[in-house]
Amino acid sequence: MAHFKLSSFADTISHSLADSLNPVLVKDIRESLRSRSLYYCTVLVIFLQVLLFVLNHWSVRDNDSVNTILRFYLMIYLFCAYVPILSLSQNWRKERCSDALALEHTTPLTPWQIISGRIQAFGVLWFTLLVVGMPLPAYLICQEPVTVFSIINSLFMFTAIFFGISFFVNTGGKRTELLNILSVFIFLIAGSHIINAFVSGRNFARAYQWISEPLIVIYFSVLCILLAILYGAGGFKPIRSNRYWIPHFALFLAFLSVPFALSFFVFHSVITVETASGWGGVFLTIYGVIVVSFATLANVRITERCRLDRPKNPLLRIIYWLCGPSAVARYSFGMLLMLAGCAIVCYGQGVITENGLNYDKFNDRGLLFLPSLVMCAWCYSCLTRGICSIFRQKSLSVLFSIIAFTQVINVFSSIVDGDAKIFSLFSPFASLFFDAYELIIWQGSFSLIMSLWLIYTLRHESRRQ
Amino acid sequence: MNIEVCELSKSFGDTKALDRISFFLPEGAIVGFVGPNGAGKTTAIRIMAGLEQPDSGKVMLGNLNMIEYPDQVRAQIGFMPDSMPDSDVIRVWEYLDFYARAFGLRGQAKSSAISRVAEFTNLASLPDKMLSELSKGMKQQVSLARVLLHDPKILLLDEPAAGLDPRARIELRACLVKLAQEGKTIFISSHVLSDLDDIATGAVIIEKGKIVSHGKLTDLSASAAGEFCRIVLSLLELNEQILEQINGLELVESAIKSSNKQIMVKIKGGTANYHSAMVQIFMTGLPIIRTERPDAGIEEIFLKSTKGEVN
Repeated sequence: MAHFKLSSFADTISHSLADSLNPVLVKDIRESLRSRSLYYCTVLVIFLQVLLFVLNHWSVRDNDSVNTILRFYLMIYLFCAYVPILSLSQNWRKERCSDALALEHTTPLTPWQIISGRIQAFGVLWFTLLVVGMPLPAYLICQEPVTVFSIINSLFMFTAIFFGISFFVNTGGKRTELLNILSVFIFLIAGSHIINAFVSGRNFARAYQWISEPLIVIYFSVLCILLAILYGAGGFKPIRSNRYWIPHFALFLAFLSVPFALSFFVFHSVITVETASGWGGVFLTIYGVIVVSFATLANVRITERCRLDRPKNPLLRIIYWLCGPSAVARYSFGMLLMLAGCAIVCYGQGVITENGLNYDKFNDRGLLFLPSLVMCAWCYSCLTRGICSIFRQKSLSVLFSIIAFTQVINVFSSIVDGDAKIFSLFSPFASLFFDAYELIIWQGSFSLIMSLWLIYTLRHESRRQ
Repeated sequence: MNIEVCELSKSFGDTKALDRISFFLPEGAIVGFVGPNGAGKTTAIRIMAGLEQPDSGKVMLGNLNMIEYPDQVRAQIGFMPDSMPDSDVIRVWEYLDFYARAFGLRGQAKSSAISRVAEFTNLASLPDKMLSELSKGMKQQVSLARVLLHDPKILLLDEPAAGLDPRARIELRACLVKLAQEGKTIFISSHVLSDLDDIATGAVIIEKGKIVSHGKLTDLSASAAGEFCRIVLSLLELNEQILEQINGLELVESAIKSSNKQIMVKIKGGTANYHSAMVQIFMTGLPIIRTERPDAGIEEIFLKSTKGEVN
């Protein structure tokens, strides 16, 4: 009987979905509506709120008890909200593994429409869960001063982390159990930060004072993965390109060897905010120019190889539209655009280097956020594409992509925090746990492995040709 | 709309899946795509459906190059894989609705397209069934319905009859014949050669990534007949003595009993000796009431053309 009622509810909603909606969104909503976990979690959250509301109402009210209730509730709520989202992203994984995604690509749906449909589906699900789950925290928080910005910020953070974890984990592999364990593990780490921030921080508008460096790293890594998926070519699917390995190789060198070698031999340490002024600034600019140039070159080359009249990437589409059929014009314009982006990012770094961290002046630098965000995401999506085209093994491509994204995180965390080790080459995570010397060893080993792998791949490719 | 595949090549690692294959499919034809396992059939079909990029070569649909204009070409093609990969938690109508939306159908156009394909594929009574509740045959019907939603001019079917029971196969064959009569070009990859025999008008035979034979079935059949010239003799009575008598004739390679009163005779030297062999047979004075010369089917053409090797 219960099943019948749930089906009827799902059918009613399913029939009423408008034609104008993104087809992928419609499909995902329908699948979610038939997921039992959504109903059970919703009921549990509502029941828990009523229970805790009554408990709070009848017990002695002090800050500690409110905090305890809030902490307890958020733990359960976050988990309950996460389960349906995990289930949704598992559907996406199944689609990818069972070739259903390939079938979607035989329709006129663009990759962009498919990705945006999924993000919209996530948004709808998340918003529903949020509406159901927020009355109690809102009631408890509203007993103390709270700003709209604080709520928006926390919601945004929830969203980025939830989406990022569930989607990312399910993009990387095929084994359901393993992915679920990994997902819950990451979720617990991220979730504990969220709860602490939510309960202890309260007034989020106070210039990010509650944000610790690890939290920034998690926050932006999730955000950047999201952006990279949005801007990247076909998610993590490697592009099977064999012909244009020279620009890819140059791209790889630019990305990996040049900054690494320079940072090691010229500065004798990783580059930090302190060393980014003077020659460090010049180096950063050169580095940026090389990286973005090759990134653009590789991206345009790949698009040319695929003989696409209309590239999927929106920015590339603009370049094609403006420059016409001339490949030289496309390269030149693309590089100019990338240089502009790089200059903006470098300028942002310079401002921070010059002035140090000053939250009062945050708004001035805040203007740099959007262009920096777009440019960095674009730049690294190009890198990812190039990397994926070299390394045909998906797992390795994903690994490289993550490394590339962490570069973006470094830039942002340094803009926001001013204290992160910018361009600590391959991992801000590593910079949290190792000192400079260890970091160089870590990066050196990693570079060696990657170089060996590159040589292997290139040999393999040349044999085929 | 016709399809022309020109010099298509594709490699996976060291394995050359397709080696400069070329063939032509005329409008309204049902063409069988046959070859041993691992011959490159699925790779070729996936490239034609726009799911894989070839290393070189092109696929032309009419005047459109598949690789240069994938979006325009997709609207003209319906691709059906060997099994229906999709979520089991949605209903049949929701599945069709999704693809109808994906192909840009909205409102009344969408509803009528879904009704049309559901009726054509005998799904009219199943729209509210969950996909998970369907049998393999029903799922193939749903898959065929999905393919037909946007009324494509070309159907690429990869092993459509795989795993189907005899009744479902007959129904599928009937559907395909109807579609060909509507002017659709149908390209079917199949291992079940007898399924193609009755409906195909042409065949493309592939082995080790190379096309070994292609063309109209009548031409291929005539060519194969050169080696496999056979006669079916119907007699008033049939016994071992008669069989031995025919087997003893100079131009008869073999004679086997094919049914109660029928003998399948294979002629030595093929078509060239057909008339002489017939004279020899009638000279025996056996009670022959009817003779028949069947064409070589896809199966024989396939056996003649391929060596059974894989990449």
